[in-house]
Amino acid sequence: MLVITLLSLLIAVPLFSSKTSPSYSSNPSGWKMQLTRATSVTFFLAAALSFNAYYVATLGSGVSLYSGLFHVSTVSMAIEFFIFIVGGLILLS
Amino acid sequence: MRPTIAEYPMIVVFTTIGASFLVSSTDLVSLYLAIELQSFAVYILAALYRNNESATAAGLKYFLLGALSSAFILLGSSLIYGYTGLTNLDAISSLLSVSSPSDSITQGVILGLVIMTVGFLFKIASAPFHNWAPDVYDGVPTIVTTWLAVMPKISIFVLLLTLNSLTDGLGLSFGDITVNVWQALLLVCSLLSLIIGTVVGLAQFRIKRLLAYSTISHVGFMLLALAVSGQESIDAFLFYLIQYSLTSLNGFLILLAFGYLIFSKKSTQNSDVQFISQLAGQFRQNPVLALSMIICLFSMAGIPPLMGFFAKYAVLYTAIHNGYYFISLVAILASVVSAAYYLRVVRVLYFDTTSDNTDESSYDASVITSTHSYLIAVLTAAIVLFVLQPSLILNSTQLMAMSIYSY
Repeated sequence: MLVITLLSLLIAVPLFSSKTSPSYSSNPSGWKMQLTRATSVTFFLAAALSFNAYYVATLGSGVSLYSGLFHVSTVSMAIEFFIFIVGGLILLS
Repeated sequence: MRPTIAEYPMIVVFTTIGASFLVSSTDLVSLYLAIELQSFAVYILAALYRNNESATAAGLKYFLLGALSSAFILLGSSLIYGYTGLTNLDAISSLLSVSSPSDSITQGVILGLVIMTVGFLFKIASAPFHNWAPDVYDGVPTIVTTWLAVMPKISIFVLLLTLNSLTDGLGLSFGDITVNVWQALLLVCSLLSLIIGTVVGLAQFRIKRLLAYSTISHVGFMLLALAVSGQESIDAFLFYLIQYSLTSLNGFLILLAFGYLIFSKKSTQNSDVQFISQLAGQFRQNPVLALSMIICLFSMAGIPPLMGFFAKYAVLYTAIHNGYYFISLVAILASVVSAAYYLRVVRVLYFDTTSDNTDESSYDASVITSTHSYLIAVLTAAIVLFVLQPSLILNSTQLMAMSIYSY
């Protein structure tokens, strides 16, 4: 979710920052605000996804990803959820 | 209001991806890559406002000291790899459980682990590695400070929690006593953070430096809970981490709102509250916002019905329960002394009068967006009403702590 957002932002930011775009001339900082809000929404969606995947019985002893490079457990999943919520809240302000 | 920068959300996404990799990484390689992904984006974030001189200076300082701490982490992990030939933390843990404390492998891993932990303590601004934090927090704009002060800490603390399970019974023998070096390191840093965070905080007159020192003192509390290391202390640690992140987020958002309000009529580019004295008399002009600020500060100080009190109570309870009497006493004293500087801000807010005689109707409430004020309201309500419904957070932290020890 976040990686897709990142790729979209990487494309969107240089694309829209050209000064000939019609939305720029009418409201110079409006579209930037919209980008921030869209990112905030994706953070909340990412939080919802990680909450949706929170199966305590399955995650109990942890799930190993990428041959042991990452290890998802109940704590890491819950903290990830919390990080996304707080990140979304900061961007919302 | 500051001009919005288009790259801001992009960099924020970078650092969040780093943070979410970091909390679940269990390999030295993925750990280092995740921490760099997180840190590099935060360095850029600190220096994002390029035409602001202090932000650039702060960003450069953050970058240099962050690079130093990354070097420590890299040195530590290379030592661990050199002594064991393993990078996976689980494998290292299995290796340590079959080797004796006098083994050269154990001693090498301890050395590497201590150096690596020093790097992490640098990043979370624990004393005696805290020197960058007040300068950086004060230099960058408040919106960036919010991110710097809240987000990187959460993931690195959870990483320290992961490392904590690696170090059970990992000790060095000096004669006939065995010392758990990692735990001792955390305890020493916790003690220094508690003392330096409170005593030096008393002398501050810039509001963000004060909040930075308050952060250092809270880091001391969290390190104490982490060093005690048992099921109930992990519970207390997670609860403290969550409540402190929410309270500190609320504090910075309120500060941001004050900045917008105070500078809305002045045509300056700068919209940050820098000095505590700039908040003088705000209770008469923005009573509700001032009330939220006070609730937030009282929660950080640990005044009973608010959320911060229960977190401090949990940490101190588990520390005393496990026999750490001296550091608990220091923590209680530090908490009392830190109440003094929070109360100083409260006094300025309520009882001081403004120096510039702008009439009260000159403040335009519409400079704060409705989502911003809604956010402050919800977070403040969460701090106040936690006492009525504590099971929501406490049950989840308890389940997390149980799942570490019972599976």
